Amino acid sequence: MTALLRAHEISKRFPGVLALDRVSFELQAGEVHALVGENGAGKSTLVNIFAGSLRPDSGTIELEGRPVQIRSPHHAQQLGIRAVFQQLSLVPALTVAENVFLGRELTAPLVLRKPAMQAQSLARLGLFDAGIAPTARVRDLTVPQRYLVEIAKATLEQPKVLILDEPTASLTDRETRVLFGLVRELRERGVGIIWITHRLEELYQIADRVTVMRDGRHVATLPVSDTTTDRLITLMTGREYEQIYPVLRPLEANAPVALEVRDLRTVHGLRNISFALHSGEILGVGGLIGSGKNLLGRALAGLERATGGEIRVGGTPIALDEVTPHRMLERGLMYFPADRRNEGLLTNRPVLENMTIAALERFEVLAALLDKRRERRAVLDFIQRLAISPPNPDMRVRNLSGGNQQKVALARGLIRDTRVFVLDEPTQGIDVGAKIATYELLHELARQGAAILFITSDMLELLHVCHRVAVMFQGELVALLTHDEATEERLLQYFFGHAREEVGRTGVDAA
Amino acid sequence: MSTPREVTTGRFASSGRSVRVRGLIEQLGLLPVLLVLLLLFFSIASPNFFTRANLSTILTQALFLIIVSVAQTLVLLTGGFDLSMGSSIALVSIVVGLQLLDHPDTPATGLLIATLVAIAVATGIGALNGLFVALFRVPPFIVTLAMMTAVSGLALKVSGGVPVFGLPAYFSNALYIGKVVGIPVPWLVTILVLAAMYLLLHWTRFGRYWYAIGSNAEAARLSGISVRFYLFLAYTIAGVLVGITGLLLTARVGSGEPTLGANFPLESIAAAVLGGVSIRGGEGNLFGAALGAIFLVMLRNGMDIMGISTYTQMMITGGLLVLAVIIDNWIHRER
Repeated sequence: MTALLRAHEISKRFPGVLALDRVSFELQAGEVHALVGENGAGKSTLVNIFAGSLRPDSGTIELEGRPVQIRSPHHAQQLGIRAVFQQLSLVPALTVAENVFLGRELTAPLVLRKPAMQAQSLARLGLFDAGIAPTARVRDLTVPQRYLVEIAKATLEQPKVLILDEPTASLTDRETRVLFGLVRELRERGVGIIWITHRLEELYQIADRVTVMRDGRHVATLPVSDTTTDRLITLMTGREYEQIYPVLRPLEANAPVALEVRDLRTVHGLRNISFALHSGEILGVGGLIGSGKNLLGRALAGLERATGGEIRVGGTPIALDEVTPHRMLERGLMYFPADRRNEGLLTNRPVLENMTIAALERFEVLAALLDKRRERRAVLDFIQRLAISPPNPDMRVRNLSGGNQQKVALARGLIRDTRVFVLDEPTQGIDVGAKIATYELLHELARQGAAILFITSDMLELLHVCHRVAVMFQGELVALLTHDEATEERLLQYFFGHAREEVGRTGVDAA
Repeated sequence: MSTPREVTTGRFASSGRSVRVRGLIEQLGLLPVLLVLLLLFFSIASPNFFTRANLSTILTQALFLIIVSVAQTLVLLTGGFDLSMGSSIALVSIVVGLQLLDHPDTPATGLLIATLVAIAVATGIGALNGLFVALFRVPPFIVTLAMMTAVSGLALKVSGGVPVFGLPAYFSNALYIGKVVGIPVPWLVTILVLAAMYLLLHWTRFGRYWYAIGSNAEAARLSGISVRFYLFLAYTIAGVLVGITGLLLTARVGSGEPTLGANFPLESIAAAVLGGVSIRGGEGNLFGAALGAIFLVMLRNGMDIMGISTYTQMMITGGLLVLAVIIDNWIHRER
């Protein structure tokens, strides 16, 4: 039987990395083929090549047995390959119907047939029962709603190949079930579906086969029924569980509270946030995209304005209108944004300046002059301790790998007296080796008495790196579980809002 | 983790030369090379160019542009720029001229008042720019373009559109011809400005913060830097330097001129960019900008000697600026 889509020995090089190294992949008609792997494994690069956004350096692609060269996203669509990425391709200022039909509007010779387009959009979207009006402007929709519009757009004309990049990441449980239904229906009609996901548990519900990628290479392709989550993780990371996550040291019984938050609420909809973070503790914060877990970090740095509640650092209350990055830094709390390139680092400045920028007053002599020798010594010391490579303080940060960039960002907190680290997705986009180094560093910091708020989308990190896990759902902190209580099933229940506990009462005092 | 790293070398080998050239230009700037080429070219083209007298003329002429370019560099580093420097110099010139007319016979008082007024006026304009950029988040282009227009109008209105003539002779004697410890005053001031700004930019936290803000304002903010304050400060200090230039330039021309320095904003940006200061902010240094200023003045001088018309010169200078920005893009494009 000829495969619907067959990629043979695809390679793709980016400056500094070989993103795909002779990867072969095969998709049958009427199959849901899951694609899994760590960030940076090459999944996105591969599907971007199928979707026409990238051209391979070498290798061949066959569609229904005929060799094709996919020249552009437009060409991919003509061939019947549609992709729905996390980065949505909707025009916010246009209506839902206008977006669905963008580029292939129905016309009666010259005039747009708006009612017909609206009716067809409605028929598509009706499947989801999500209350999306075809005349609504996309900018007024929520993130999951936008995602559904994007899927409606992609499936308007039945594609041959449908690529879904982490489709359930922003969906609630109910929307996920509807999406599963739609995907099964498309599968029965012979559509081949590539399903990229980080949620291994959902494979068993929807996928037929799974391909594992690691470091730009094809590792294995297996029928889903033949595999287990543990096995997949080992394949994805190339390591056993125990090798990845350092041993969690138990918290000291009477560790002081480093950061206490009570009933925090903010302009963009965080509410009911109460927790206490102790010295030496790593508190994980999980939740779906849009659950507010990232806003929590921003709120603690003063980037998201708090409208009510209390924040105490080291026991000292901080007036809400004084919560600014500057003031929180003075109190010993530093926030590390997820988007390191755009928010965290001075990418065109050298490592040295990046490391000391928040601690220059420590290197001042004679009123205002910088003691550059002492500064350089301190920086070299941290470069060595964090094993930053290459160990060159004058290298521009943009030329470092993602993992080393992350180390430089963390060093900025280490070089001054930081007692509370608020980290937003610190392991996003870095390879396994750098992840392990990051976990070890966090544990080391905790051992030395730092308090760490670890915001992450990675379920395994919540389960294995943290002393306790807080779960956010629709802007609220709905659960605080100890390491022993936190299981994947339990966390997911909280993630999707099936369960909640009274955190305000029980959570703050439980350590 | 080691595998993708190793592959890196392979990639760079294929386009190694271009990367090496870019790296070199990034470090040194393109300018020293261009400067030497220009020197050679004009020396061959005209026997009157490479003479001690002419080279000294070039440097003396360049002093004013050097100070303005350093001021412009300060603002460029933070990711902004200042178009109002020229009209600021014009207003300084007029106000200084009018003040001097009131003190024809008292050099000490006259010089003191002229200096204070010059710095106050230009610093005020710089501070206003800074206020709008930092506090009200108006894009620097809009703020300084508006400021340029408004201040230029003010200068013309105050002067009635005609130069202020009849300045007391002690003024030019002191600030243009005068010497302190054997060094002409404009030279001395330029050297002091360069030294002070070098210290500020590279040996204090102020400089680090300005570079940081221009490189990534959000990251700077998260590092506890008060971005607004330092932006305000950058425009204000640039104002101080513009005031000094206005004062020296008025002493040089010997009258209060309502259109003095009109070319400075563009020329100073051109000089800075030629000298390796990035228009995106966060990159470059003041010595590059100073070299850029010398380059531009030398170019003008050489073309004058060769008898190239002013109009053609303007076209060449314009083309050069575009070229500098293209090179800037090429050096800083993502790798």
